[in-house]
Amino acid sequence: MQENEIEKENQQENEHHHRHHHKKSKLKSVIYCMMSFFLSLVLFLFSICMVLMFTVFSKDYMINKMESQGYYNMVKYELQTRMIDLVDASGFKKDFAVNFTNSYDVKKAVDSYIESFYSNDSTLVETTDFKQQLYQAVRQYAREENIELTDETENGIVYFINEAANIYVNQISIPFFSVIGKYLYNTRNILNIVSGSLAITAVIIVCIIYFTNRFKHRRYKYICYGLFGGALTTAVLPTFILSLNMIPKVNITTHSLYNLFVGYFNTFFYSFYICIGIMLALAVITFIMYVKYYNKYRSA
Amino acid sequence: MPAASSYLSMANMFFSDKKNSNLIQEHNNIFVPVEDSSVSSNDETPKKPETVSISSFTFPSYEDQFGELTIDDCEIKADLFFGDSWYVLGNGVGIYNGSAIPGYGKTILIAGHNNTYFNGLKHAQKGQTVKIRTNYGNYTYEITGMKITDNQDRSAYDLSKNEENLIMYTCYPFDTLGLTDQRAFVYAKYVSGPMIDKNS
Repeated sequence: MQENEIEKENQQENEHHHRHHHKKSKLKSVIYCMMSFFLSLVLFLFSICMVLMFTVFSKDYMINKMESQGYYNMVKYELQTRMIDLVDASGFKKDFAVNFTNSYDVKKAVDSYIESFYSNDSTLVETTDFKQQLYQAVRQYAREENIELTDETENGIVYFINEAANIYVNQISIPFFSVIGKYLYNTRNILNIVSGSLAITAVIIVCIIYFTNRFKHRRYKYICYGLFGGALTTAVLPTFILSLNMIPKVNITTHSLYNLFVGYFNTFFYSFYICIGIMLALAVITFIMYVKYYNKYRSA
Repeated sequence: MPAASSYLSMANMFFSDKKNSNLIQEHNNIFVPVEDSSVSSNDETPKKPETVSISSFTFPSYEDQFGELTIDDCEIKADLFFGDSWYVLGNGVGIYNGSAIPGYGKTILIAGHNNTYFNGLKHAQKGQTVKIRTNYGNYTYEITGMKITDNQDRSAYDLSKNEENLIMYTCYPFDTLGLTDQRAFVYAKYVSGPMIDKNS
């Protein structure tokens, strides 16, 4: 009789212990799932920071895009076309415009404009040399064509040179670039701190998951969840934008800016897939580790 | 969806329906000369001015070439465009798109460069004939006067006038190097040509 009671008591105690253990294990798994979620969130934000740092905030990216999209040649062509219209309207022969639009000067002016933007200098297009060259050429043209330069003509020439300089500035500069430029420049320093903090946070979360789990398969399982979740979250925005195919339909009238815009933003969104690829590769590795250790755990 | 519609409309301002693949500037030429309607010389009954239905012809879009302007006495013969952009003025003369097209019963304001297509306006004199041929009818105007004024002088033209009249303008003086801030306006009155019936 007494033995039966003891056995019953033991059984109850075991059941209670088992229930308690089960509850504890469930709570643990919820906490680790939450950690995986935070890991994915941190990785998603880190990917955005990385892509921004290597594209929008990188001068080299801008220059590369300009070169690969043939931006300099197109700007030169457009500037030449506008200058031909202007000299035609101002009584010059059309080929007078050709001398003021060589590729080297255009590239130098565009690069200097971009450089001033990324170094937070005032983003102005320098026109002094252009105006001086134009003025000298006009005088030479007048000599060659035997045109007398009266006071009235001089005024007309100044008007013409100023108009030409306006055309030059409009062609070299990028619309809204100087407006958004200063905000982006200020954000760049913050972005460095934010991406550093996110990287440290991600490492801390991974360490917590790794070192606080008794079973190796669980360590890899939760890290795998985080990585896979991060990859999926990061994929949403670029996949959505690229699947809409809206970028090539943007309304920009000049050929040079249109090509630059399309090339710039296509590469920007495709860059996310590099981060996604890295996260997926790591997720696959951790999944393989999980399967390996899980099989070991089962067989033990 | 209704909440998103305003944002979608805004997005449509920045994006077109199709890929912007062809950005090379070439103008659309819709000018096909119309034959003058034959009028019997011994028919002495007064005739009402001809009309042309607005739906019977292609209304020009911005930078479309839709006609030709000729002033024989001034040796002017230029393609006529709708709009007065740099591109247009490099290829002919253009109607300011805030004014009217010939036959509309309002002011037609045509611009051209003083050293190219409208250089001949320096010979403009009262009584000379201006001919405009379009894709929907042929028009004749008679020069009534000329005025040199500042480029900011808004009194030089009246776009609200409800009477068919033609104003041609260009930079002044002619044959000079550089740009000028004076304008030469040449005024002409309507003589003949089909009026546009806006209700049909």
